[in-house]
Amino acid sequence: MESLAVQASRVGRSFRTGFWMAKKTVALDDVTFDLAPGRTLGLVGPNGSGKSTLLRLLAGVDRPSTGSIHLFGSSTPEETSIKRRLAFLPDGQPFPAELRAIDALHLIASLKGMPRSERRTRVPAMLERVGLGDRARTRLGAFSRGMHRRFGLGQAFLTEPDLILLDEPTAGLDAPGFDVLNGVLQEARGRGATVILASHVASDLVEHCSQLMLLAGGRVLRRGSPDELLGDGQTLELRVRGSSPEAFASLEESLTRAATSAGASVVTARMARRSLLDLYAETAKDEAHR
Amino acid sequence: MTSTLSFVALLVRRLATPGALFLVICVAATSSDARAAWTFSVAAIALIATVRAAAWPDAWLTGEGDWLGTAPVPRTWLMASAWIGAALGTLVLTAAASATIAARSAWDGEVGHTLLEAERIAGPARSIVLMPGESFEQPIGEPAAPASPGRKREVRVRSTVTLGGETPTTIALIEAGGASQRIFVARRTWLAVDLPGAATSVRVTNVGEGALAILGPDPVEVWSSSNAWLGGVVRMWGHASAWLVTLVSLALLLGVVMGPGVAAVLAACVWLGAWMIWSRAAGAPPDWLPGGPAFQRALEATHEQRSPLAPPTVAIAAAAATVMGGAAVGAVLLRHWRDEVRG
Repeated sequence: MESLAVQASRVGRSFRTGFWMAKKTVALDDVTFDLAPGRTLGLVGPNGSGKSTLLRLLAGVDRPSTGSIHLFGSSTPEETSIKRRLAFLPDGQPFPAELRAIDALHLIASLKGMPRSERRTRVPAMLERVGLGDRARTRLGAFSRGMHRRFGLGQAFLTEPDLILLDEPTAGLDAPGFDVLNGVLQEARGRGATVILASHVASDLVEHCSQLMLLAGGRVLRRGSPDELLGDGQTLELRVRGSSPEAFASLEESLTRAATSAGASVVTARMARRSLLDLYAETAKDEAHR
Repeated sequence: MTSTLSFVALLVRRLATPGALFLVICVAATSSDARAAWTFSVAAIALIATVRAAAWPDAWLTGEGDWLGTAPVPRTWLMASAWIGAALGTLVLTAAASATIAARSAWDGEVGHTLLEAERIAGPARSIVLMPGESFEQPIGEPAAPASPGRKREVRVRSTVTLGGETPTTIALIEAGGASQRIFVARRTWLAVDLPGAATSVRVTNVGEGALAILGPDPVEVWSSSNAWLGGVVRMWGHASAWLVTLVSLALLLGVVMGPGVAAVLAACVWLGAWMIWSRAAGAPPDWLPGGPAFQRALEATHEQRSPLAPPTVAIAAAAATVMGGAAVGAVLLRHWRDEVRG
C-alpha cells in the first residue's frame, strides 16, 4: 500500500510586508495534517485564513517558512518527479492572456512534458470536455471569469494527476461549469486521485469532500467529515418526489401533526426547486424545438 | 527542450507582436533620413523592451507564474528561457526595424553606388601633433576591388586644431596618388580627398601657422562605394541589439527585486550613469559601453550614407557579460516565485 498522499508537519508561512519590510504577517501557523491516497479534502475558512497559501505550499509554488511537507512518501512538492503527478488550479486568472486557449493549453501540456502526438489529441478533447471547444481559438484575455475557471480546470485535468489542488474552483462558474467540475472530479476520484479543494463557501465543497478542514487565522481549527462539521444533529431533511400538489398538502399536514406529537416542529416545508442546470437544459430543449 | 522552446515562443510573442506593429507604423511614418529612422526605432524598441522585461519577474512574483511553478521544468530553465525569450524578442524587433529601414532606404534610392563601405581603418594608436611644415604619412595599401566607372574611393583623416601654434586655426594639405586638397581646420574635422586608382599612401601636411592634431586611434579611413547595403544594416542591427539586450537584461534582473516601473527606469539610469561616470573620468564614454560611442559613430555613418562599422568586440563582450550576469542572478533569485521579502 502506498504511503500517505500528503503529510504536512508543523507548516508555517510568514511574509515581511510594509514599506520597510518590518511587519511580519503570518499566513499559516503550525499546520499539521495528513491525507490518505484517494481521499478528497475540502479546505474551508473565511478570506485570509490561509487556504490559498497552504495550496501554494502543497503545489510547490511557494516554500514553507517552517515545518515540512511530504507528498507520496518522502518527496517534497518541489521535486520534478512529484510535479508530474500533481495538478494545481491557482486562484485568479494567471494564464497568458495573449494566447489562444488551444495554444495556451498546448504550452502548458508541453511544460508538463506531454509528447506532441499526445497533445494533438488530448488538448482539443479537454477543451471540448470543459465546454470551450467552440472558443479554442479565442484569446484568453477575451475570456469571462467563468470561462477562465473552466480553462483552469482543463489545464489541471489535462494529464491524469495523482494529486489535484483546486483553489476556489467554483468561483465564477456558471451552472454548466459546475457540471463540468462535478464530472472531472468524479472521474478523478474514480481512478483513485487525491483531491484538495479550497473555498470560503463550505456548501460548494460538501458534495465532493470526504473530509473538511476549517482554517482561520492561519491555523487549523477543526477537521472531520462534512456531517460531523456541518450537521447540527437536530434537523431532519426529508425529500419526497412523485405526487400531486393535493397529496403534498395532505402529506405536509400529516407530517406537521406527527412532528408535534414527537415533540418536534416543522421548520420549512416547500416545493423543491429545480437546479439552474436543469433550467438551462430545459430552455435549450425548448429553443431547439422552435 | 520542447517545453523551454514553447516558453521562449510565448515570451517572444509577448514582446514582438505589439512592438513590431508599432515599429512598422512609426518607421514608415518617419522621414527617409536613415539616422532619424534608426534613432527613433531603437528608442521605441528600448522603451517597449525595457518596460516589458522589467514587468515579467514582477508578474511571476505576484502570482502570474503559479501555473509555471507547478510545471516539472526546473525554474532555472524557466528563468533562462525567459531571458532568451526577452533577448530573442528584442532581436526580432530590431530585425523588423532593420528590414523596414532597409526597405525604406531602397525605396528612396539611398542605396547602390552612393553607399560607402569601409575598406581600411589604419593609423597610429595615439594622437600626434603636426607643427607648421610637418607631415604625417600612412600607407593605405592596394584597392580592395579593381577600379570601375562610377566607383568612388576616398580617404579621410580625423584631425583637429590644437594648442602650440601661432594661430588658433591652421590649414592642412592632404595628398594621395596625385590628388590633393587644402582644408581650413578650425575644429575637429575630417580631412578627405578622393583617391585615384594608383594611390597606396596618404600624406597630411600642416601648411598653416597653427598646430594640427591627427586624432588617434586609427585616424585614417579608406572608403569605397558598394552595393552591399545589407551588410551595413546587419552591422547597425548588431549595434542596436547589443544595447537593447543589455537594457533588457538589466531590467529583467532589477525587476526581480523591485517593481516594474522603478526597475525599468533604474535600468536606463544604470546605463546612463555608466556613460556619465566614464565621460567624467576619462573624457569620453568607453567604447565597450553597449549603445555608447561606437553606436553613435554608426548612427553618424548612416547620416553620411556610409555603411556603419561592426560593433567593437569589447562592446559585444560587455553586452554578453551583462546578459549572463543578469540571467544568472535572476535564476538564483527566482528560485522562489515569491520570496519572503516581496510576499
